[in-house]
Amino acid sequence: MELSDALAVAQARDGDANAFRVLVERHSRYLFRVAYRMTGNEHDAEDIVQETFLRAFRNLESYDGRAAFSSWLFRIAHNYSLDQLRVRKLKAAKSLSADGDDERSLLDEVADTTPGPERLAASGMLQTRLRAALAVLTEQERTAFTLRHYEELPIAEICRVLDTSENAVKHAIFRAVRKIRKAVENLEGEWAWRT
Amino acid sequence: MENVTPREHASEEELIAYYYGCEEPAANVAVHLAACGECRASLEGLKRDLHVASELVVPEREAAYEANLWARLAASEPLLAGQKGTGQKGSGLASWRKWFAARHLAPVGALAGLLAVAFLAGRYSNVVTKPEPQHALERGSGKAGMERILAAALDAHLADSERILLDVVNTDAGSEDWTSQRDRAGELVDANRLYRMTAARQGQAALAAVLEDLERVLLELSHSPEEGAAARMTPLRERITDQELVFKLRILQLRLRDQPQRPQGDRKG
Repeated sequence: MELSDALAVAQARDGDANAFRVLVERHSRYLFRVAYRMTGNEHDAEDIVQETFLRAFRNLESYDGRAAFSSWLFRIAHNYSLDQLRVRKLKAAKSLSADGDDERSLLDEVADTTPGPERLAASGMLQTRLRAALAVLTEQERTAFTLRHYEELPIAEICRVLDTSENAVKHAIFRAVRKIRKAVENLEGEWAWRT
Repeated sequence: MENVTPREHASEEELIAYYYGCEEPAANVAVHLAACGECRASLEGLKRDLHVASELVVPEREAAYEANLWARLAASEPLLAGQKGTGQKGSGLASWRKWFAARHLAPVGALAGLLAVAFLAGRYSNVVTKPEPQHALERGSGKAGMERILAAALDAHLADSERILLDVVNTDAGSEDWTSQRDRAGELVDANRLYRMTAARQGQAALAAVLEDLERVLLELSHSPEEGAAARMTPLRERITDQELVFKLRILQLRLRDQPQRPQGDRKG
């Protein structure tokens, strides 16, 4: 019989690392999927997945079982990505104070990874634009949109992940959709070749 | 007079909420959409745009993604290290805690000095294949400083071995360049053999078994061919994981480092 998340958590708390391994094997792929959509970057997504599970293991006692275990993981992942963003901003601020440029944004980082013209023309333009569109969202907008649009989590569950009100989640999703639509509209003139 | 006033067009927010199934505006918007072609067109535009957003491709993970992730987690968190695959009844942290209880490993600290003295005696007399651990111990006893240094040598051997095993477990499965790991493993084989033989002679069966497992891995690694190394590494990696070697080595090191120094009054000579 398959070990439930709740039972696996209980056993892991009692020192059974194999029970924790069950949780890792069960949740790691879609946690990577969410992390990738939150960051648009494979390396960062891998880092988030690994750090999320380490933090989860070290803080198993604080999981109260009210939310799904996956939602608890999302919350850890979201908080970690916020931590990372703060670190990056701090580094960027230090760097910029030296060279006097404007603040480096996530969009700049996506632009930095934009592939060359041949690759863009071949297949990457849409993907690049979508990643760029997601990159202009705030962390809260990106997480709320990712969990609702891609993972189809109920609003109430997203509230628990983000630790905020239903109204705030809905507005985060609205803002995210507006920004993404704007980016998509700009694409429409360019991607006639797709249809 | 009809008391239902014509509704204004649905706002973008309402359409988004409707699209995502939010309860509050859904009923009203549904009624309005049934009668308003303009809003239905707006909703179709929203669906089209969000459908485009759905095309964001997430890179596929390799088949062994979970296993590789677990290996990385185990390398970062000692309490997760060395655990076998799922579904193995009786394995797990609790059983390892039992195996590594003081009853089994209490003599490890004393043995550390013995092993290290034997190792160094062998090394400096070039009689590596025929160590004389008892004599070496006698020569080393009563020299607290020397014993600490020698215990540190055994600790270093275990740490070096652990690093190699972690390299094997964590290196990309497709890598063909194992020169560094092969050379380092070759350098550790002789010392490990000496430690193992001494542990066996002292009746430390569990410790000797760990060192024997380690020695087989080191030997296999040191003799791995330059060509086709990637294919050879997969079973070796599995053996390291299955035998929980990394975890065992780490526990041995912790026990070594936790050994209290014997008070001077306990020493003779």
